[in-house]
Amino acid sequence: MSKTGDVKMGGTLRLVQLKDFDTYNPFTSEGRPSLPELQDAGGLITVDPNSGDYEPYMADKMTISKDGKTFTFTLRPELKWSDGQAITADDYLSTFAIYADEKVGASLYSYLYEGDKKVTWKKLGNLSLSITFPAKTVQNLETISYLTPQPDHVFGAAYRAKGADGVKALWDLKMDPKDLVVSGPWKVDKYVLGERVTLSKNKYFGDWNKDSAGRALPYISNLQYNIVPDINASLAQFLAGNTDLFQPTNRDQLSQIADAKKAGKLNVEIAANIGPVASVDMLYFNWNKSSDPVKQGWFRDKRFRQAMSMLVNKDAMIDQVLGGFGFAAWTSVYPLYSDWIAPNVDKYKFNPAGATKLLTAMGFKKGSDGILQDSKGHKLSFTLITNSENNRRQQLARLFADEAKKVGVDVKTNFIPFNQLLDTIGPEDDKAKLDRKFDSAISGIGGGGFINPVGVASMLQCGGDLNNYNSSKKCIAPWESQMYNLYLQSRKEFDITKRKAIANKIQALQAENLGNLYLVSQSSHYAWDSRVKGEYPKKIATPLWASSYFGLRNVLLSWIDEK
Amino acid sequence: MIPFLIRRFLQLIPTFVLACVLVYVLIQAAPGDFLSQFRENPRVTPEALELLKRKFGLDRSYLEQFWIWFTNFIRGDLGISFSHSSRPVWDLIAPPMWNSMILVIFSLILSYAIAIPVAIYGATRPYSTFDRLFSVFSYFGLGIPSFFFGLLAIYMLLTLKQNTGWDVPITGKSSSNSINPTPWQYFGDVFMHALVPSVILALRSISSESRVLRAQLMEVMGQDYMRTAKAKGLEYQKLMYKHAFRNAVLPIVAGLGGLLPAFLSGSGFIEVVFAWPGLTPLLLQAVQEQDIYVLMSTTALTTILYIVGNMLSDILLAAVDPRIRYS
Repeated sequence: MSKTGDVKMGGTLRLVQLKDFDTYNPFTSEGRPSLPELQDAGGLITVDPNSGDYEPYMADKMTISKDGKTFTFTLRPELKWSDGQAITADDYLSTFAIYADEKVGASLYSYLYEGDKKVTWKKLGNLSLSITFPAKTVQNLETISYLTPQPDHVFGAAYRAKGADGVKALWDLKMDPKDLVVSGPWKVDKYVLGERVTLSKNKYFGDWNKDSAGRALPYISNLQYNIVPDINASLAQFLAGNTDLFQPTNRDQLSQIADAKKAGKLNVEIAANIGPVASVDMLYFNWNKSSDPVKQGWFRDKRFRQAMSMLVNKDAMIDQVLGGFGFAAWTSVYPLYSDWIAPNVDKYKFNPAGATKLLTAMGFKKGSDGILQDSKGHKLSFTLITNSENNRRQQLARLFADEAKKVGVDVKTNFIPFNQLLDTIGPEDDKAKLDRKFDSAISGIGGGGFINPVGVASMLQCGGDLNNYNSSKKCIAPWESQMYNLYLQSRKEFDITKRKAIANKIQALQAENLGNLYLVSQSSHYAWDSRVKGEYPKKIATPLWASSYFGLRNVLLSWIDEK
Repeated sequence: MIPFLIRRFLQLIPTFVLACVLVYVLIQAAPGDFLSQFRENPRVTPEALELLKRKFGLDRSYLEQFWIWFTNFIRGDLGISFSHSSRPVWDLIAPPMWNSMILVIFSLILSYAIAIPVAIYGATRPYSTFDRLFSVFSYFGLGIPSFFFGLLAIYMLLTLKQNTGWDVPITGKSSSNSINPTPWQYFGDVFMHALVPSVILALRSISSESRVLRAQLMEVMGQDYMRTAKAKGLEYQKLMYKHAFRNAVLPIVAGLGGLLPAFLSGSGFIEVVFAWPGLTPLLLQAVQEQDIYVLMSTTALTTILYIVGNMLSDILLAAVDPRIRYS
C-alpha cells in the first residue's frame, strides 16, 4: 500500500496473457480472462477487501427489501461511458434483457434464472432501478456484482432492431477498437493477434472513481498484454525484465526468480507462500456400486471412511508433494477461507494405529499375505484413480497407497485422462449413476464464491452434479439430507455471523462423516518488478486477498515508479 | 500429364474423406467432450452446461455432428471454435498459419543456403577436415531434439541479457517497445525474433539435407558419364552444376511437396518453446480442450495440402528428370 503522496501517474504496466483474447463482445465472450471484462468498470456493488463485505460501487446506494428478494439501487450521477454519454438505468435494463435471452447464449445467462423462475428488473427513474430475485439467497449479492452494464445505445439498439443475432454480430476482433464504448478504466487501443494488446486510459472513468486524495483513477496510463502461450517462455520474459508481474506456480519457478534477485541480476519483489489458492484436492469413495455390494458396503460405512482419513498423511503430502508450500484441508471450505473453517474439524488426523483399531472393529483381520480381510474373506483392496495429466494428484494417490499398505490395506493406483475420469465419476445416464465403475478417486474443485464458501448446491446435494461420493438422487445416510437442509438455510441468511454458524454445523457433519476426504491446497506466490508499486498491505494479503480472486494487487490502485 | 493430374485429383476425393472420418473417429474416441473441463468449477451451473451443449450441437448424434461439419467444410465454412467464443475457425487459424509460415520460410532459406554449399564442398573434397567437422556437427544436429536446443538458446540469451544487458529477443514475434513501427522496422523486429528459432529449426534439415545431397553427388560423380565428361575436358562449373547437381538433387525435389503441408502444420515444439504465435500452440490447446472443429478443419486442410504437395512434387520431378514422363 502506498502513501498517497508517493503515487506517480502514467507509465505502462507490462503483463502476460497465455492465450489470445476471443472478442470485444461482452455477450459472446467465454474465455477467461476476457477482454470485455478488462474494460468493464465492475458491478453495482463490489467487495471491500478490508472487511469482506459487499458495498455500493457503481451504485451510490443499495437497499434490500424486507423479504430479502428485491434490491434497489441509485446510480452515481457521474457515471459515463468512454464516449462521454451518461450511464443510466436503461443501460442496465437492456443489458439484463440481453443476458437473459437464451438465443444470445451469454455466459451469465443462468444467473438470471433460478430453475424456471426468472430474475426481474424495473426502471424506477433515470438513475435508479430494482432487481428482484425469485428466492431470497445471499448469493444474489454475488450475482449482482457480476452484472456489469453495457451501453444501451450500442447493444440495446442492436437488440431492439435485430434481436439476439444483432447483438452477436457486434464487436468481433475485426472491428476498429476506437469504436468500442466501455465503462472501465482502460480501453483497447490496438490488438495485434498473437502478439499483444495495448490499452489506454478511459478519461471518463476517473470522474466517479477517485482515490482518498481526490485524484482520478487509474494512475497507470497504459496496459500491455503480451501474448506468451507458454509458461516457461513467460518466466523467461519475466527473468529478462521484459514483463512486470509473474505468479510462480511451483518451487522451481520461485527459486529461479529468487536466485536472479539474489545475484543482483533482477530488480524484483517476491511474496512467497502468501496463502492457499482457491482450490483443493479431495479423495472419495464410490457409494453407488451396486454390482459390487461388498465394496459398496465398506464405502458406505462411516467407520471405514474415518479409518481411511486416518491413513491420509497431510504433513507428508505438503512436505513431499508440494515442497512445503501447501495447506491441509478438512472440509468443503477451502483452507483459503481460514476464518470460515469450523473448529475441531481435524478429528480424524493421520493415525495409522487408530485406523487399524477402527478396521478391526469393523471385523477386518490380517490374512496370511498381510492384507486385511473381512469376516467372509474378502480382501481389503481397492483401486484409487486420478487424472494422468496431474502429477500432483498422482503423487498424493501414491502417498496414500503407501501409508495404507503399512496397515494392510491394498490400494492400487491407476491414472487415466481427465475427461475419462470425469465420465467415470459422473456418468450421464441415471442407471449408470447407481452403478459407477470406480472404487475411489482423487479430483479437485476450484473457484466458487466467497460469500458462502461452504459450497454450492451441486456439491452438497445427494446426486448433485459435483457430489462425488453419492451420485444417486436419494440420500443414503441421514447426515446427507441434514447437511443439504442446513446449506439451504445458510443461503437465506444475510447475517454473516449466523451464516458462519450454520457453515460450522455443515462442516461438523462433514468432519464426522467424511463423504469427501479433503487433502491439501497449494500455496500461492507472487513476484513483480520493483518498478510496480501499490500492492495490498501484507496484513490483508494473507490469506484471502492474495487469492485467485484478487491477486496481490488492485491494478486500479497500482502505479509505476520509473527510476 | 493432364490425364495423370485428373487421375490424381480423383484419387484425392476418397483419400480426403477417409482421412476426415479417421480423424473424427479418433477425436470422438477420446473420453469426454469440450464441456467436461467445466465440471470442476462449481460456478458453471448445470443449466449453463446444457445451454452450451445445445449451442455447440453436442447434444446431437456423432454422425449428425460429422455430417454438419463435413458439408459445411465442402462449402468452405470451416466451422466455429468452441473455446474461442464461437469465432470462425478460419479467422482463428489464419494469423498463426501465417506466423508458422514465416518461421518455416526463414528456416528453409537458411537450411538450403547452408546445406547445398556444404554438400558440394563435402562431395568434392570428401574426408577433408571441414567435411569431417561437418559430419560431427550433423550427428549432433540430427541426434539432439530441437526443443532442447531451443531451451539451451533461451538460457544463453537470458544469461547474456542479465550479465551484459544485450537484448536479443527471447520469445514472441515482436517486441513491445516499438510503438507504431514503420513496415521496415516491423520487418526487422520480426526478423530478429524469428532468427534464433529458425536457426534452430534449420539445424536438423541442414544436417540431413547436406548429408543426403553429399552422398548423392558423390554417387553421381562416380558414374561413367561423369568421368567421360571430365575426360573430355568439360569445365568444372558446368560439370558440377549442370550434370552432377541436377541429378543429385532429385530426392530433395521429391521431398519438396512435403513442404506444403509443413507450412500449415507449423514448426512443432519450437513454436511452443519460443512462444512463437504459430499453429502448434493453438492446435495443442485445441487437443487439450477437445475443440473439435479447429482440429478437424486444420487436419482436413493439411490433408488436402499434402495431396496437392505430392502432385506438385511429381510435376517438379518430371521437370527436372527427363526420364520421368506421365503419359
